[in-house]
Amino acid sequence: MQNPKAKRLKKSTSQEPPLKKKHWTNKQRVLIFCSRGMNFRYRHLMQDLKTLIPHHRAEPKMERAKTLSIVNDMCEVKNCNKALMFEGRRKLDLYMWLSNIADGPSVKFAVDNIHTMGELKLTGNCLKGSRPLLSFDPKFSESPHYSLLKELFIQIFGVPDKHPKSQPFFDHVYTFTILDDRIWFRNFQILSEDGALTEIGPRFVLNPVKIFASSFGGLPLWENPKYVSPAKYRRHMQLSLKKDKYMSKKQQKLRAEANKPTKSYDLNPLDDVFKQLPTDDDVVV
Amino acid sequence: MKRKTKREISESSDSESDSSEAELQEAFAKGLLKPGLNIVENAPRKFVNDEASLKQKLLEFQLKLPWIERLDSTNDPAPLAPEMAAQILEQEEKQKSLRSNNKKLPQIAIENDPVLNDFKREMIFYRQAQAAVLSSIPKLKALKIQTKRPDDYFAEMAKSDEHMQKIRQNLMQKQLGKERSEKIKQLRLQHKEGKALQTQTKLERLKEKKQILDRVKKMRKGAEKNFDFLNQDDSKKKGGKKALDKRKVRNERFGYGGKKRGSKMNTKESSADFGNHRGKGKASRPGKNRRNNVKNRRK
Repeated sequence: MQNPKAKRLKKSTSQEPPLKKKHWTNKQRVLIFCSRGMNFRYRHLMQDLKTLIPHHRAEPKMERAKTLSIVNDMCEVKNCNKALMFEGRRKLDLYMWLSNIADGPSVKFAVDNIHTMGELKLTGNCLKGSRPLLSFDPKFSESPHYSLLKELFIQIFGVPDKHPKSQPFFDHVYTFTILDDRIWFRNFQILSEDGALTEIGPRFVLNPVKIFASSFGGLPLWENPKYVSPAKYRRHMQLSLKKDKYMSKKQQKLRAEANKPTKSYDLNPLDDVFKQLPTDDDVVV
Repeated sequence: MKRKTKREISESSDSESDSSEAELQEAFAKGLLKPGLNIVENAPRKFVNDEASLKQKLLEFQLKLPWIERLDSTNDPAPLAPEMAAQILEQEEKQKSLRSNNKKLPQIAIENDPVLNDFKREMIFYRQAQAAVLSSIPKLKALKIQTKRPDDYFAEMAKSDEHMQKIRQNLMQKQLGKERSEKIKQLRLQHKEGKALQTQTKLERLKEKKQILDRVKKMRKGAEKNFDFLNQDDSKKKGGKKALDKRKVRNERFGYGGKKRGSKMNTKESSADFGNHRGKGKASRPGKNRRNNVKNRRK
């Protein structure tokens, strides 16, 4: 005779399906965090990415460190093999680091044109943690640095199959498009499987700055020749404005000088003959 | 001691400047120096692009996993659907008309229009995503994986219900605003047309009057013998059917000519009549909500 208690225990174990864990082979873990100096919009973007990436680990914001190599140690402590780090500068500029921990490579991007998921014009919605389809521009296979970036994107943004926090359905697509030497990211909801979509957000544009051989350091493998730092760009704009201001001022002065009338009014010299009282000298005897 | 060091420094700097000057003199003698400002030019920066290592690195860290783990696809934008092409055309025309109607707006050619550029760019992304869906979903189906969420499957969404409600409200508001502006536009148009009609009829009437007066003048002089124009039917001139009906009722009630004295006095019949003559009474005032709704509709 079997013990009834044991029977019940057996039953309960058979009810919970251990299937999910069995198939979960691709164990990516992404540490998502930021350094100090972010503004609210960038923080919201990070939050959005956290909701979209179920295989992430969080970390409090980091003090500005001299070397970023400590991030490798942080990831090791958190048992992560990928890192997505935001770095804010002057509360104005945002940089994003993507890195494959331990062996590299790592990439630094400047991020612009950010729209978060909270914006009201992005009307789509998707399951939290459902696996996205990743769509890449054909240009990604044209040059080696882009194909390297593509692999990094797949490993970081792609949700591993059968991840415990993921959902088993496919209701959104990420697109990575190269336009104007930048990578444009969009997230669309699949309304119907014949190709009707709406945008979910977030939107951002990644401008690659540098690719390093190892994680947060090492030899640079590629540098963007067209990259101008946002601070430099702003300075350039200001200077050109100033220059224009100076030039326009000078031109205005010259024009005013040229157009200045030589006499103020057409006067008749005899007009004030009777306005003056005759003096003694005028009286001719 | 102190003085000595100072002298040393000055000497050293002197010797430095001497040497650079000598260099300059030499360069000038060779004809390398041109008059004007001479600026030291830095060599152009070299940008790293180590293709071999990039490829090597990619091979090193690439995951060798089946497609179901990666879900990536590389695709060109899907062909433009006809309704999308129509939408683009519509946008273009809208922008064009906006520009032509308002000269204060910057007059930019359609192809350089930043708004349209945005629209077209987003369209490229949209079509790329579409192509990805059209290629990946059949692949998943071939692997016998359910892609669509059943209707009775509920789970946490990326955006909260509260937020989605906000989005819906925003959309509704936009729709309402659009309708309202459309309505106002139509009202203005009607007003304009009405005004034009009014002036036209006024002018016509003046013309008619003038004609009649002219003919009367002629008649006086004896040039015209036909008096028919004076007895023309006035019925069409005097208001519409409604006004005529009103007149009829009033004539019945108050009489048309004839004796008026005693008409308001009680008679045998009227004093015996105890019927309730209160009629409908005043219409009750609608509630605040309804009144506001009506007001909004008018706007």
